[in-house]
Amino acid sequence: MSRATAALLASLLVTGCDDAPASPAGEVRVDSLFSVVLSETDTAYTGRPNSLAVDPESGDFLISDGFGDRVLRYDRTGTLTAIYGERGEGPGQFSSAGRVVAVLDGSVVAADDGRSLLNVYARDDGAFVSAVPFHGTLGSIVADPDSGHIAWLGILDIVDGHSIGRWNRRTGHVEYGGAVPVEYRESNALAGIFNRGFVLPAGEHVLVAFQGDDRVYRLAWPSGEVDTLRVPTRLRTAHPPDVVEAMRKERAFPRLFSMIPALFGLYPLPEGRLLLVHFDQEIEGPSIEAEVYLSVLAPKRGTACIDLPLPLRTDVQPRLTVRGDTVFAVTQQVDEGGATTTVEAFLLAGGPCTTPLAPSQAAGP
Amino acid sequence: MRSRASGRTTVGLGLSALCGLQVACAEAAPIEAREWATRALRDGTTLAGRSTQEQALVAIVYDPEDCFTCFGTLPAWQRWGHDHPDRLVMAFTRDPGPRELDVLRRYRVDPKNVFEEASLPWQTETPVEMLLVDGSVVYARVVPPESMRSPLLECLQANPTDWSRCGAPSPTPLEDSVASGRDAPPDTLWPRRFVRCVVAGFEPLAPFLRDRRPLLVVDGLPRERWDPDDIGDCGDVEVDMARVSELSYRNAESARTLWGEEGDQGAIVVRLHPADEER
Repeated sequence: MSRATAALLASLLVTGCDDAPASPAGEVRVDSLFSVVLSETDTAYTGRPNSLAVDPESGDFLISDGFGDRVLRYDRTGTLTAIYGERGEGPGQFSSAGRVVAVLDGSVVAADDGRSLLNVYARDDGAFVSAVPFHGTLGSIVADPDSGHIAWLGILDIVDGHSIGRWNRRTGHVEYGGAVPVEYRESNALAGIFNRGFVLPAGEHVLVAFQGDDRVYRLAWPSGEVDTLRVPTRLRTAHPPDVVEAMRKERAFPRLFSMIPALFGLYPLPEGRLLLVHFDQEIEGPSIEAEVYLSVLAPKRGTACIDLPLPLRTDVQPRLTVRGDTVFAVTQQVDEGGATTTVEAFLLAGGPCTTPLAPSQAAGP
Repeated sequence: MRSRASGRTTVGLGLSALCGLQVACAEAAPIEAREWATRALRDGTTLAGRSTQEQALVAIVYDPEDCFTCFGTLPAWQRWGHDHPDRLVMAFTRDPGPRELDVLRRYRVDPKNVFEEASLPWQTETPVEMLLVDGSVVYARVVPPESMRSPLLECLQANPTDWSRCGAPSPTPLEDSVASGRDAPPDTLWPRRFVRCVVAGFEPLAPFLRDRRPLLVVDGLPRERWDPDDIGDCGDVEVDMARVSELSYRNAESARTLWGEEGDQGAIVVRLHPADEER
């Protein structure tokens, strides 16, 4: 992301909104580009995709598998080319291959959520390089656009009240900053169920969002004045006015789970736009049904395309990532013949997202 | 769980976000681990009957939900089974439900071996790992689904040509050679009382039992037996989030595992409703 892009993102948040009018059908279109069926065998397959990344150089797909606790690498034809890590508690192993995988400067970085570690591997030969501990629960890793050795971690750290980790990859040290919305301190249900944080560097600031929050925060690193943007709802479930009180009154887990949409990603788009991915989720027996919505926030002040449905055909919770203006999703379909894992790509076309948003509010977490 | 062409998708959660605590309701004692060896399967065989003197057999007994609440050692056993296709049998205590079947298919598990008895006690402890030689159980142990390690698998891998090291051979009395069941937990809620309720759903909920034990037990009820609306109705849970967050715990992707150390007791308190306590 260029500085210009970052600046546009930053300026966007100066004029966020509350109580925005519902957006009409989005001006941005979601066009299907292609799909790649992954070649899988009895021993090399993705049982439960936990996260997806696209290698910025090769275009390969990296999928962390929460079932086999490892990261599988597929080329653009769907052929398995490498496996990183394995289940276990030793160096380079995963006790729980987590929600984050990324390719940073020739390395594959994947979270072991079970031990709160970032496992780092050499991209080409899969050799384990190092493990970096982190605090809280991790939702995203983003390379700093200006410093090749810096990566930003989107976290939710209730204990210390941090939402950002700044990882110096030369020293291995992670600095912490940011803040956690007060609702997360007041609601165990919110903190337990919607426990991911997302981060995006934006010029001199850092954008932060949380899985159970409908706002995007602009923070000055490590902690400073905050602008907030409340992302309005068009199709997805709206947050109750007082989410803490609403969750306090509700004891049934499925209803807690479905009470608010879950943020599953915060991504930069070309031309300074910002993409948010929300899931409306509902528990159905041992499974969850989810609707996936994309919201594109325009670089101009206070306009957006809200809640564009992502037309996925899948029997599992999809995992998404974004490169450029392309959204990638890993999906699975299950039938009597077995399971098929697919990576689908969608182009965000058109624009310009002119639905006006309301003025900003200056309140922080 | 069916595919749709719209934006609505279905999520195989593995019940991972459904972290709850089973604490309530059946009086039956769990079946002993080794008893599975002689229970009839649908095809009329038994696990014991499938083993011979020449061909030892590894059998793993699952409840279908074991395979999606937590994944445990299943992937490792699958890989081992791939290398020993005639030496591993996975058997199921019951037919999986439709959604469970979808999850099993995603994990490439074929639930073709199902126990015959429809009246099996529903309170069972699974998964059970067994080593059978010539019709006898030489090793049987309940390995909690969330367990990271399988002693039997590790032994077999360490002794690929001498499986006798992995269990005392017959005719050693089973009682002396079989490690059956979990270690007795010191906690008062589980599993001493086989009362099951899903207390609450979010992840860091568990009584801290003792050092490095799998602590969090996810809704173990058969799917047909609980109404999702009842979740959370059997007890009050207090969680000291600050203390819990200090721990190294597995996230909602692996609901059953929350690891505690000595001194963590009290971070989570579960209070049963009076009605449950009277059961």
